Amino acid sequence: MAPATEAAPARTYDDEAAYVTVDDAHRVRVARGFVPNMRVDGVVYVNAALRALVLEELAAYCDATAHRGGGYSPALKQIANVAALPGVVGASIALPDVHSGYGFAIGNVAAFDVGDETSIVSPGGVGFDINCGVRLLRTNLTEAEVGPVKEALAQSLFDHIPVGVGSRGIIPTTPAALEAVLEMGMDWSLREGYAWAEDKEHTEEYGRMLNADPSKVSARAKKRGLPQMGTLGAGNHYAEIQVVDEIYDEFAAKKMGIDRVGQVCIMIHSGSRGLGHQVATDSLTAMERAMERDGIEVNDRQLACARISSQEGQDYLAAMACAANYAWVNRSSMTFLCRQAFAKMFGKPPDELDMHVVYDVSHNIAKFEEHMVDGEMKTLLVHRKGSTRAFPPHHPLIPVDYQYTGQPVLIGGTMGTCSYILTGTEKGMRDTFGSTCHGAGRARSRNKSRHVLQYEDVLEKLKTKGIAIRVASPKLVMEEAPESYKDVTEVVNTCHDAGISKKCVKLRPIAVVKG
Amino acid sequence: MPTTELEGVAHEVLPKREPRAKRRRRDGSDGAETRTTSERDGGDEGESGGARADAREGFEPIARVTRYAPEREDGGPEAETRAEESEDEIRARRGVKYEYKDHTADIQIHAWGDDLAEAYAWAALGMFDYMTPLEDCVGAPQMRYREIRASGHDLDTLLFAFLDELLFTFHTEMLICTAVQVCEFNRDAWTIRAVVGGTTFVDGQTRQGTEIKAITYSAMKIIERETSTDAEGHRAELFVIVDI
Repeated sequence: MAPATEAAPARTYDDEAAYVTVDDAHRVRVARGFVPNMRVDGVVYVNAALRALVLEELAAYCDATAHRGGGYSPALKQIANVAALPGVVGASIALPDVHSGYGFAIGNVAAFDVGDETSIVSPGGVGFDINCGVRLLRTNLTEAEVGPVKEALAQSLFDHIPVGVGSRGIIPTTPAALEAVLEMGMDWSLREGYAWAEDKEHTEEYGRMLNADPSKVSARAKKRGLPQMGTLGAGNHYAEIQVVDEIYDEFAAKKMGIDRVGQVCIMIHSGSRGLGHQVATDSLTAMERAMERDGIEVNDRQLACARISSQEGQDYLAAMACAANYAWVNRSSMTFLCRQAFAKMFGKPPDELDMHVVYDVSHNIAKFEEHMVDGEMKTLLVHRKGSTRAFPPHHPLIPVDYQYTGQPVLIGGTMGTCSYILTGTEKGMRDTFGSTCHGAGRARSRNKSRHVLQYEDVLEKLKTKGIAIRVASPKLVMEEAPESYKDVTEVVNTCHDAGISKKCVKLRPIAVVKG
Repeated sequence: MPTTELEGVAHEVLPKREPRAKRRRRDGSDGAETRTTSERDGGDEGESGGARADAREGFEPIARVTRYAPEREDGGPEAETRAEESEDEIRARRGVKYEYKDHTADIQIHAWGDDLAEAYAWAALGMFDYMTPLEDCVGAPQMRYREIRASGHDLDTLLFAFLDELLFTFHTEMLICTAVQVCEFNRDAWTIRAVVGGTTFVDGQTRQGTEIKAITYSAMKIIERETSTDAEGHRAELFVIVDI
């Protein structure tokens, strides 16, 4: 029963590395044969510096003595395992922030041809935190106005938004309301007065996936989701007050309502909380049965999947859509709370502060999209796990406001580092199914961070940078320290240089609220 | 487990309980054997809270977290003394049978024991300890108990279901487990029945760790040995990655 990849690595590091060849300055290719049954190649977008990190992970995996019985598949193996799934087209693509995940690597994109009846949908390609994503709000405030009150503002945000382990939402919900949330997504938020009509316009899918069917979400998932609505969560989730540090593309920035350096924005990074986690967990169990029945073989148990056309596949997609709707409502509820906190602080209603949603992206999701494959237009089910959609200008699925700029792509940095707004490009549409990176991507394990870093040092460092921080768990500060992550600038530059997305705005944090 | 038939219905028979003093031996780090049962509701035992008798009849945990009290030479604050020891050292002295191994994005829990039931139980405690420091929770005046049932079709799915059930209980009932008793570990039907004891997580009061989102099958490994062959002498051990 042990998946094939878990057998003791018989090949040495040199043997393994021979499959990994450098395509150009921004790409490496993982050739077929790296793992059994690969149908397409793996393509990894990394520059020289990030390439070293990816290979380091592979080296650690080959060094059997290092992990004494434990160990896990490195990202490169996982990318290759995805390239072995039925129905995969083009390539199994990884973005510069890629690192080892479970099933799919984090930062992995794969598309499956809907026209091919053997094609699959995999919850492992979406992740446990379904529709985890980033939302950016702008304001008409400047750093000069917010700077003096940032400590108070950070405290206010921390008081308004429930964060951390075991936190409960403060917006009252009933089981009946939850059903409506799952079905309607942000239309529910709008109806209940927690969102503005314009917010929907600037959200992927307009904040509502239409194939959502709440009856496909288990009672367990609903039970977990009910108390957590409107909570930030823990881990790498955060709410940050940021200021515009640099504008690379004035035209595009202006379209987003960002017109000067020093302008204050708010970034919210969160997902579908326990509801999404439970939907993913439940589906793994259901899909195992489907795999046995349909004779689907995969290299890793966490890659449980089902044919798109099968009952299990359809059920998962309907439940995933519900979780996605929940996540949008969750981010909308926190947007509401942020607007309240700012309004109280500055004594003006949120609309006078111009607190509009710039955009809201999903970076853990599977969607049906039209793409060109070998000169032919095909409907694909694109899985993006730790990867952001980045559609080019004039694409019909992006809002009117961004038709000339391309879709805004929000890249959350890590605690204390910069964040970016990028825009989608034609090249990305051709090469990566219109996808780009999603964040910095971890470089160091959580455990190592806790041992190497000191809580006080990390906080001191943030303080010297002038960043106010409110955090529920000290342990998390070490795990989430910037030192644990790759350099987000390096990641974004690689995507920019490779042409799969374009840099637009750089943001720098002045206050962080975390689990 | 033996069964008996009453009015045509088969009932499971609980094993005969051992005398209380004998049962306490397992965790008697501070001479708990000498205490009488009347002390069991006294809530002022502080440091030795983990070693006190359980209020629930028949609760006989195979794995439990006890409070580790460092020796205080100068009577200084406990936290200071604690900071000098690494997490692993503290864990070893507390006698827990789990550790956290490196994983880029998530956490790999390594748990072990004399048999699989014990390893499963420690894995569960390892999971809770990551979400909140368990030693804060032991010895709470209000112990809660709950029965957990899970089923699968092999060892992997059983472990997955067991941990998922506990995680679900935490997220819905806010129960933090500090002790686990495995009552039934059935390899024919692939079911597990356990009784867990712990306290309620109170938002704003209980110290926060890192939230665990889900259990994964990723690189899951469950190892059983006929005879103890590895260096540490574990008969059973397991590795499970949980999603942060």
